[in-house]
Order: sequence, then structure tokens, then C-alpha cells
Amino acid sequence: MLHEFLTVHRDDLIARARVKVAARSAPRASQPELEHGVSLFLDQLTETLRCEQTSSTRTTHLEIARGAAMHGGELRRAGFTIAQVVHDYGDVCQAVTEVAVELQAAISPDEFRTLNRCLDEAIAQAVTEYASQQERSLAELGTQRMGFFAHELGSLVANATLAFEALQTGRVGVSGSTGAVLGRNLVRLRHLIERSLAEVRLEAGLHRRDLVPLTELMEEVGLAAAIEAKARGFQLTITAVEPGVVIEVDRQLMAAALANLLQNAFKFSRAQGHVVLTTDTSKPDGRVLIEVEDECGGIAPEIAESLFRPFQNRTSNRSGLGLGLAIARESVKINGGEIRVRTLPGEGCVFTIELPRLLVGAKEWCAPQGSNSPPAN
Amino acid sequence: MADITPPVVLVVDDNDDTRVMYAHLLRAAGFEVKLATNGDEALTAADDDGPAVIIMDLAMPGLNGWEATRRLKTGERTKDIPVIVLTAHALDHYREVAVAAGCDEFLSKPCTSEDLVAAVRRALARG
Repeated sequence: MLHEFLTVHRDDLIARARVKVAARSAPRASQPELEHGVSLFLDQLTETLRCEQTSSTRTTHLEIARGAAMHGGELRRAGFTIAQVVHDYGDVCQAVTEVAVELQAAISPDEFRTLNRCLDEAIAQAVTEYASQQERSLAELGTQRMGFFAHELGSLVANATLAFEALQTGRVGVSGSTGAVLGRNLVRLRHLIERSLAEVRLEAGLHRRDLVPLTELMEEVGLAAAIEAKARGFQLTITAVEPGVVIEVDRQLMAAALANLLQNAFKFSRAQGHVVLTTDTSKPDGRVLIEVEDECGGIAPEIAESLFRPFQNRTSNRSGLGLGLAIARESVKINGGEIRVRTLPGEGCVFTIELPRLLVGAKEWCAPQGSNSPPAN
Repeated sequence: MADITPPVVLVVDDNDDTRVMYAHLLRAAGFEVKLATNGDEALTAADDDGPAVIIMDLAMPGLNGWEATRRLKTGERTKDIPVIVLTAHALDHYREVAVAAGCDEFLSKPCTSEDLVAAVRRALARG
């Protein structure tokens, strides 16, 4: 029977299938796929055929469905993509046909039809289970992130509410520490919402690049940062921005990315420290650099890149989701730029956003003062 | 002469503004307030100062609120101190774990000052 043929020639089939998988240009084969995946697929196919050829119809369908569902779960946990699942089953099937033809094995057309039917069933069940688990996993992740978002929101609203209640009594002044608490938490609420909006827009692919004067963007970001700095007792320096420089960006995403860098600077710098926001438009290649320098004391160079990974926190200060820098990087990338960090040992970090600058025709665009509209085409 | 020392409430929260505001409203309600920024500080303060009530956040760096509550409720000197958990965590699971750790009451942020003061007074009345 065919399943016996597969068992007897297992090693040869695995070797041939591995060659086919490795030679595939897309999807590219991963090392685990070559080492373990091919044998997984062949064993699943062999088992499916054994059920088909030795059991009753009802038992066969149940066992195939259960086996394929378990296999789908295994494949997902092993990190396989759906494309790899479909192609690997196909490569294994081709290897079976090749060996059978070479050895002139006595496998009937009916058995080959059975092989194809089992292959279809195995792929369908594995992909269905894979997709189902993926969906559950995404739903769980979504719930977790919503939970964290609600937690952040709840804390900020709680602080703002208590501060407002205290101010309402008239026993404390708006310009004192209670007023500062209210201002600080309202600003953080705004940042949280902006960051969440950026995340939603990135995930939904809803971004649009417009011509934005650099001065306008920096003014918007600087204003919010100045409020936060004052509320926290920080010194904030914002260097002058060269007029007439235009960048082509999604304004909301860029503003959210910059706001995130500045919020992090305030969060991780020493108390009452100094944060500096600079722009450099003098690069000969025409790139625009926007830098945020903090006084966090510096970080180990080897962990610098990891800061941009989701759910990473720089210190034990765990307020926040650890998503800000990951979202900021994605936002800058969508806008054709890049973001990086360098450490100043013992002093702080400098986060740099580098963006392409519009050179052709930029100076011809003279938006009237206060206008937010690009010129008509 | 009657003892007129106001009851001491220990506020445990890693958020600076949260500690400041809860301290403000509890002092306005007539309580004396001590502050701690995480679970470790809470255990030390509870042992040293013997507060009448503890208000505990859950997610904190170092020793978190769940574990701090559990240790307070099993410590010989601290097990009878009422612990009111006050957190912005939205998921039911967090409440279940806090109750399992032994907290006496669970409040969600945002919480009005009236609700918080009422919870503290209930805790004091039970003691």
C-alpha cells in the first residue's frame, strides 16, 4: 500500500523533498523548515494515507481532521507561514511521485488519487487550523493591548480628575502644583491618544503624505513639549528651524513620533534635567535631521537597537506599553525616513530622525502665514 | 485624654502624580498619609509605621501590588491591616488575583475622592 511505500522510502523522500524546498525561490526556506518541517509533512501525509487505506470512512475523516488540526497547530508554533505549508506539502508530494516512478513502484492510479485527496485534505485542515490559531492569537494580543491602553488611560484620567476636583474646592490655586498635575496629565492623555491614533492608522494603512513646512511641524511639537517641560520642571531648548524647508510627510504620524521621543526624554532624564530639540537642514545630501537629546545617563550601546522593539522598556519605569519607539520607527519609515539612537555615556541619549527634504520646487511654495493648505495643483 | 491622632493611610503607587493627589485628598479628609513607590517600600513602611489602612496599586516596578498584598496578608505584624487595591487595570483577571492575594476591597481608577474616602472609612470601621 502507498503508506507502506512512504514508510519504507522515508529517508529518500525526505532528502529529495529537502532539495526541492531549499531550491525554492519563494517562499524562501528557513532552517527549521529544512531540518524538521519536511519530515513533519511527510509523516503527516503517511499517517493520513494509513488512516484512509486501513480504516472505515467515518474513522478516516475524523482522524484526518484531528491529525491535520493538530499538525496545523504544530506548524504555527514552529513559525511556518501558510505559503510554506502549502508549498512544502506540494514538494513532498512531488518527491513521492518521483521516487515511485524511478522505482517503477506498483502504485495504482487509485492510490495516486488517494494521495492527492489526502494531500488536499491535509493542506485544507492544516491551513484552517493555522488560520484559526493565528486569529485567536491576534485577538488575545488585541485584548491585551486594549487592556494596557485602558490602564494607561484610567491612570491619567484619575490623576486629572482628582486634580480638577481639588482645584474646584478653591483651596488650591491653578498655578500651583495641583494645576501642574492637571496640565501634565492632560498633556499625557493627548500623547496617549495621538500615539494610539498613529498605531491605528499605521495598521490600517491610512497614511497620506502632504507637503509640510518644517517650521510648522516643529512649532506644533515644540508647543506641547514646552507645556510638558514646564509642568515637570524641565529645561527645554528648541533650536531655530531654517525657514522655507519643506518635507513630504504624514503630519499626524510625524508629530506623534516626535512627541513620543520628547515624552521619553522627559520620562527617562534625571529630575529637572535639560532636554534639547534640534533640527539640522545643512546636510549636503539634503536630508533633514531632527534630534532629541536627553539626560538619561546613557545606555549600553548593545541594547540601543532593542529599544525600538515592541514592549521594551528602557528602565524599571514601567509606565507605558513599551510600544512608543516601535510605533515611532514605523511612522518615520512610512514617511521615507529612519530613526536611530546613539548614547552619550554618563550623560544621555540622542534620538535622530532623518528625513528626505523636498528640494525641487520647495522654495517656490510660499504658503501664506498661518495657512495649512498646500498649493493647488 | 482621648487620642486624636488621625489614622495613618499608606498610599502605594509608582506614579508620582497619583501619590501626590491621593495624599492631598486624604489629608483634606483628615487622615495622615505616608507614601511608598513600590511593594518593597510598602512592606517596610507597613512594618515600621503600622498604618491603619493601605491603598495599593497593582502594576509597579520591583515588587508588584499583588505580591505585596499577599505578603502583607500573611505577615504576622501586617495581616490585619486592611488593603484597598486601587488600579486602572481593566481586565477581570486582575481583580481575581488581587482578591486571591487577600485584598479587602478592590477599586478601579478613575475613582472619585468621595469613593476613595468612603472606602478608607469602611476599612477603618471594620477594624
